Amino acid sequence: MAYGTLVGGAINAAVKVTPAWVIACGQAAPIVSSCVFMSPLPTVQNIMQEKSVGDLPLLPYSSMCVNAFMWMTYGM
Amino acid sequence: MNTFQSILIFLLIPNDAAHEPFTSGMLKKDKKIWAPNFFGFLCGLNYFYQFQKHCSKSASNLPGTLSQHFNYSALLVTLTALIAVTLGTELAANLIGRFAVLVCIILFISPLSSLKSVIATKSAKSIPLPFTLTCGLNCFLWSVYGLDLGDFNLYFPNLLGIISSLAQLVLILVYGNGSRREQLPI
Repeated sequence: MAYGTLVGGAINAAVKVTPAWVIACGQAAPIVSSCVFMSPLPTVQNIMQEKSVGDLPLLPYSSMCVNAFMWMTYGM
Repeated sequence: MNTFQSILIFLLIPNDAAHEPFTSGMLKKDKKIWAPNFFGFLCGLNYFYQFQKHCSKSASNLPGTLSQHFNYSALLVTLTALIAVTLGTELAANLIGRFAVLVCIILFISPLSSLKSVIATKSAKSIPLPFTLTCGLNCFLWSVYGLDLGDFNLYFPNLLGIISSLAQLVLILVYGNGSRREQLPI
């Protein structure tokens, strides 16, 4: 009994118990990220149709490139 | 202390997450991080390409010029790749993580630059509600994931992102959306 409790305690200490909702968040994060990356698509389609950028800034796209590249390298 | 010194100290202070057993000695090797960002990088390249195709070469309100954007982006990408290839993996993960955190902070704070005009015009119609909500949700999910991993570089900028999104939501609630917004925000 004491041995069982000891082993059980050791296993509990070694295996991190992650709540289901935390795991779900981890699974959903990459999907929502992809949605955020796709969000400028309507604006860019608009630019392509009108063949003009108007006075829209380029900064969101250039910073998206650099930021995504950094995180990609970080995650590899 | 000037800004440059603060940034240097921020980059050099040791990262606790790197000393945890499951993250030590490598760039993170986490598909959940690199896969969506690889997709984001391709999206960004595509948007950049389409933008420059239809943008006047002499435009200087992007902010800055087209060639400045291209040069600085290329420089940062090359620098990141060089750091990843040449330095030891733990050091590289630390440095790139810290640089990425800095870029993230700037990205999340930049929407707040509209704060002044929102308050001045008493209209929050320049803040796009769906985008703010998606960004807020995104930051929340990455914060939870980052806190679960104990990865400072992951949860810190995303917690700031949540605060930034909440601030924008408060502005929308206080000033309302007014009439339909005139142009797409991004």
